Amino acid sequence: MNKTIKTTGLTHQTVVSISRHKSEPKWMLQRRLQALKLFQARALPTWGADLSQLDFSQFRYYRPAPTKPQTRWQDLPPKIRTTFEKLGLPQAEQEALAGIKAQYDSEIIYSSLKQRLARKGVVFVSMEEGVQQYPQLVRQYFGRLVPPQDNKFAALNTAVWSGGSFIYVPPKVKVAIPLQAYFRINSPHFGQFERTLIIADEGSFLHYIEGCTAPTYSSASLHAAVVEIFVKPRARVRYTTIQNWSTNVYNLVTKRAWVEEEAVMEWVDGNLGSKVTMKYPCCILAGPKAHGEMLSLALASHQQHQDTGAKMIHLAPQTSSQIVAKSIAKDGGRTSYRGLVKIAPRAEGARSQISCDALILDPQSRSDTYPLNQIETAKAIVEHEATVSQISQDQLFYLTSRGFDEMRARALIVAGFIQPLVKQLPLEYAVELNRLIELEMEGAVG
Amino acid sequence: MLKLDQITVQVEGQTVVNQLSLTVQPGQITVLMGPNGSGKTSLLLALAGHPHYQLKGRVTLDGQRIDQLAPEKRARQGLFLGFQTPIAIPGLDPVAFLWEALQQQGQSATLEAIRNQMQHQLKQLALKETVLDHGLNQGLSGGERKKLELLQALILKPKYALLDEPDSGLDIESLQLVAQAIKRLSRQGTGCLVVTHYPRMARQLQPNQVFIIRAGRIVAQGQQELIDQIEAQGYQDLSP
Amino acid sequence: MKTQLIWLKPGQHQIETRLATKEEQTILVLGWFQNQDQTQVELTIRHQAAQSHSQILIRVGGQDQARIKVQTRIIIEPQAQEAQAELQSKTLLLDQAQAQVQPELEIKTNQVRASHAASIGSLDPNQLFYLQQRGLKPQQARRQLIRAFFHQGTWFKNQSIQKQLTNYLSSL
Repeated sequence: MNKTIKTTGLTHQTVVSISRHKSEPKWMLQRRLQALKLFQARALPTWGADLSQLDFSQFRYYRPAPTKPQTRWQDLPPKIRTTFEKLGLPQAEQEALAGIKAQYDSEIIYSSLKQRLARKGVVFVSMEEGVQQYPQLVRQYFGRLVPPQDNKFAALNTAVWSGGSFIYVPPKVKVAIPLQAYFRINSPHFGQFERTLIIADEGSFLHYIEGCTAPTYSSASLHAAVVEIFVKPRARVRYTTIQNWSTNVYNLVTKRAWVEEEAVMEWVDGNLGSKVTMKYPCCILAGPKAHGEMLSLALASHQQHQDTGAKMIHLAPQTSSQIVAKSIAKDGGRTSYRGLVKIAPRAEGARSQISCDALILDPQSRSDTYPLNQIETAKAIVEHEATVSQISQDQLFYLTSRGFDEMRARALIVAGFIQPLVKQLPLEYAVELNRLIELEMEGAVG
Repeated sequence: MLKLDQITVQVEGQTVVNQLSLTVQPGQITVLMGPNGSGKTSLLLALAGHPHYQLKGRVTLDGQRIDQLAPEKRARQGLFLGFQTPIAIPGLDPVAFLWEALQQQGQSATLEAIRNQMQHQLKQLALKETVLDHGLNQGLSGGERKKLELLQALILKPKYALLDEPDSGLDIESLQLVAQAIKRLSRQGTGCLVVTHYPRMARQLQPNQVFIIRAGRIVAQGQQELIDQIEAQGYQDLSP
Repeated sequence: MKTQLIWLKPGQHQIETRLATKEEQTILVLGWFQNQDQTQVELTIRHQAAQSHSQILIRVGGQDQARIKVQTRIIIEPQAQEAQAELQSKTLLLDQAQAQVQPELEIKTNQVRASHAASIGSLDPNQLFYLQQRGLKPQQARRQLIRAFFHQGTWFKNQSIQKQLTNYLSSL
């Protein structure tokens, strides 16, 4: 039977087709359909970036994996092509990033990795495989932290999700190397509606990395991903994302971690691309002495709006959190920090420290800070500080008096500014991120 | 030589240095002393090309006129400024920074070689090795930052170094180390113009020349006996 | 330079101030709340012209079941080149008091310096103990420290402000 499926717009039939294509069990289809209803009923958020131009009827929600390349090199926006060239990426990688090749050639790495992981009982598969192979686990945790009722884009993701990772780390197992999204073969290098679920059992350790620093062209203009992470007692998870989506993309992401007793959750977030990003990684510090950290960098250039931040919710005693948010606004870009620190009455002895540092490089750009601190117990300490300025004239003079060109001096100062984040990245990301920022600074006026 | 010819410096419409002339010879130490507010720091910042200061007059460095040049160009001509309150640049690796500054001056060396030189100088100045692990001047006290300025000069080997109060805020042991470092700098060939309040430091340097500045003007010029005079009688007797 | 001292009473307050060219303003916002007091403050500082300079100091706190909400918004418009804005906010909570603090910034041009520091906490138990060890009863020690909280900082060493502060705090 050949059913014609509408290629744009989101209907009941679209969702059914997606689920059928993935051969999903009934319970997942039911969740998708329920989420669809919630998506249709829910209004857009009234705060944050400007989403008024989103037209849901125009998007494609269902894409079978392409057998032939979708884009030609010469069709890519010139800025992306130039940046690739300047970054000196090998041809194959350029093509993969541009979506020209359907998969990244990492078969050999992945199979040996998969073997080593399997020996330790670590599960690292696509979300689809997770649903098929570990239904009990997935059913128990999927949607518990980010239910479709949470917000319109969580509902959308729950209805049409495709791709993403499912990871389970058994108790006391420490995964020594960072797991990266592109290790999984047969996954497209990027996904519109990725759904990731990570469960780190007691005492385990995992570092997961997704995204990349190089500009990534996406013909899909709406990205709504959901990431749910369960950090069991005394476990530690670090989740690193660097996104550099092309400037046609609305990147709306819900990321949340549930952190239990004495566990640690670290979000490392780099937002360099997209037209609009709304993303506020969240730690729910649910167990005593749980610790949450967020280290983020936002770069907004011409016509970009990075509306990003963090949420730390302290529900238990002696919990602690730290947020370090750095941003750079240039060429008319806008960066907004939006944060929430909530300390519940039970969270006695909680401590939270927030520091926001924003650079504005020229008069056309804009930087905002919208922090919300809700303290419901006297037995807690919250410290928040923020600064917004251009590059310090004193620092500039110090470097020029040592013989550096003004442009080089600016680049050095900005490199120093982002260094705390770069330091936390694996080497190849760090190198690329530094080069990318240098390139951006070359183009900057102020 | 570094020649200052009838230099006037203005900041925010106020004249802080008035018709000042002096010379600094290569490999020699010239001390400039004066009470607070006499214009010493303004003079040095203006010589380095700080944008807030307007400098009139002629400044020549080994025959080349530098008073119209941008700060980085003056630096490349061989001028070094040791700041009174050196600013921190978080995240900027001190070794990479100094290596690149050397490259600018046309002196090449490997990063390893620079690191070794820096570690050697750190010991000589009684600075902790961990200084190299942080951003430039990050987490350092005022005194430590001043020592780091000297360390940079010793490695950059500029033709002329303007040192703005390298002694203020230092304890006795550090004073001696700093004085020794400045002498080493001059022995390497750098002509040093050292601004200081304190007769003790001035004396330790055994300068070739001493100038006294008050209210933006040179009021006395001499040798070491001038230092003794200041120590005994202060600055009041010398009026502009 | 204009200095304003605002002592808040329970209830809702909306304060807005604009700064013109080269204008300097210092605003001190203070308040101590108790019992079931509910207080909401919305303070907007708008820099509309060049070289304006604002300094905001907030010291608020409460005991019992007081509920305090402080929202500050510093806005620097594009034409306010070389503007400077500093905000320092300290909130002291005792007993079951709760606070919501939102220090917001909207900066629309680059040659400016805007900074804020906001902290929320309680009394230092070491300080409490110190005073008690010197003979003060717990309630007395507490009162002393609350007074000290308001007198902290060089701004509060100004004579006229000291007098006003002492007046306000005498009811504690």
